[in-house]
Amino acid sequence: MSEVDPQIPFMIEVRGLSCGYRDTVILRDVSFSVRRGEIYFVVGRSGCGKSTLLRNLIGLETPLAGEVCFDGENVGNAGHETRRAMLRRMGVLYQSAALWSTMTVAENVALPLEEHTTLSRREIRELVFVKLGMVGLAAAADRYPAELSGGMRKRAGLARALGLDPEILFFDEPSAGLDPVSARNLDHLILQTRESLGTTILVVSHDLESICTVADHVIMLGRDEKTVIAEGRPRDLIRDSGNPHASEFFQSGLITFGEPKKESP
Amino acid sequence: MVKRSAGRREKFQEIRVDVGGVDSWDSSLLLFVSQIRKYAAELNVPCNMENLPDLLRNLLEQAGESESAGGSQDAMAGPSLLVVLGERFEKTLAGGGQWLTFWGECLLGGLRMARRWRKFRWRDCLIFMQQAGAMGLPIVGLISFLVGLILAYQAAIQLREYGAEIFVANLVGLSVVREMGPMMTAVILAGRTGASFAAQIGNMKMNEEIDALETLGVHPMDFLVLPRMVALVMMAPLLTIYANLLGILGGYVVGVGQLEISSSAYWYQSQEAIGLNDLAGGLIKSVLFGVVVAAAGCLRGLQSDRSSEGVGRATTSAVVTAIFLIIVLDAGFAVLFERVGI
Repeated sequence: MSEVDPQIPFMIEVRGLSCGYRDTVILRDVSFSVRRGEIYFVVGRSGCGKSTLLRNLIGLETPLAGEVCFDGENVGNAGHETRRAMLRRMGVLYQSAALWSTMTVAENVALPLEEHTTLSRREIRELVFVKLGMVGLAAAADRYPAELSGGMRKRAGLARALGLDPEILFFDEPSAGLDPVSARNLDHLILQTRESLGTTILVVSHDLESICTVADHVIMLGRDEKTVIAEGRPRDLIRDSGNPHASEFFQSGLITFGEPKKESP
Repeated sequence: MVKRSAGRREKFQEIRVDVGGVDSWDSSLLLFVSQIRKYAAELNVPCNMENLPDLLRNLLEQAGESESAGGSQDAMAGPSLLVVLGERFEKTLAGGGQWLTFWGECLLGGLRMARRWRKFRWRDCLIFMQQAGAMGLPIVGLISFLVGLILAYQAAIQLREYGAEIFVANLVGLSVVREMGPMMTAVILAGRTGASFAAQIGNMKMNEEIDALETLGVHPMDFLVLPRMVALVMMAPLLTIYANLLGILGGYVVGVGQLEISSSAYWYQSQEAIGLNDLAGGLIKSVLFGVVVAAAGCLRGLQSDRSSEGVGRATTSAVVTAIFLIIVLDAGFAVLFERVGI
């Protein structure tokens, strides 16, 4: 992983974001910035508000306070049309892949193209196969989501998210529910996407191995603190995160992977 | 074996539990021992546990801890009546707001559709038409036929006393075309199609598919609701015409078969009785019933909780809402038509 050049402009800027539902605050005063082309991980234990943060970033929920800027433009106070234009520049891979179950994989990938471009039906079909080829799913184009394995579904979801050549990609728990091999394949695809398209990628995850192999930069959300408790490059955080909860999280992998388990007496 | 040292409610000095010699045990022993401990605490006598296996002792401690944690929750009083009423009221208001938002969005979606009708999902719409219309023909037909039959029998009992059996044709024809045809069709649509709309959309919501639509800039209204609504608005009147025909046929079978009215007399009488305005009134109602059934199904689906239980509730609620609105609308139309003279 290369060092991120400080000259590169910020693609996502989050300032003082608080989110939650009516009476309950789930996250407060979260601020971070993601540079163009960076792979940024938001990590934390289950229930710390990672997914809520993501839903606020992609506009499915309105933040209680703070602002979210994409490419210098504040989405919070943007009108409907600007917001729609902003959404066109983003792709999201949901935790459950969220493929539309009444449509085949190819139709799933084609729908955003039909909605947002003026391409002909044949061009769209060709483009769909290009996108499916990128994730290695061209052979499954005419199958329905229910006939696919978990890993294939996620890859189809990625192909759909890549449809409109997004500048920012969001991943919600990409390795959740996948076997280790499929999870590593997906990690590889994330890296490949950045290499080939220069996409800025924000991943919400708690998979330590993904974090170590893919992330350029990591922030960790605390479940009790309700805000960012550690920030930095993954290897620095594993060495010393400066927060006991964060250290517990980052060191938990070392016990199982790093050293052999001690035999109990 | 465990010796039952705790017996009836007598005066105890001490309760002793001896689990020595037990080599295999399961949760029932844990339950038994913890009940004894509680009993002893109630009687305020010391309880001595002997020879407890280590694991059991640990489990017992944990059970005691979680019980005291749960006990404090029990002690919390429920919300007062005022709070409950207030919350209900707030919920009802929010529900009304959601209906209004839904209709507003529907209108906007309709305008968008009119502007770029090429992008409208005609293929989905056709599938819904097939499901609601063609595949509903047998059940709509059967029920309408039977309703016509029942009406004819009821009418015959009264009219026979005056020797006016021929007016069975008027009564059946008018009540089927004006009321029973549109209403029975709508109720069947609510049960068959409205419920399936709510279940489909609720499931999509559970699976984040609706979030995916929104983040890809596809409006759920355009993609999910409008095709369903258009399908039902087109199918409800067609099904109603079909239901009307079969309802009249039901009356005809009774009239000709039982009441010995001649076939031509029955048809002539029906034609004389049913005016074009009766037919039109029924069809106008059926269009609105179609809108209501589609709206209730889609809205309840969109409101559903993200769980299988939530989807089930949404389905039930879609049918109940639709039938309720159908009856209310029908009552409104009865008054309106009387005023206008249809």
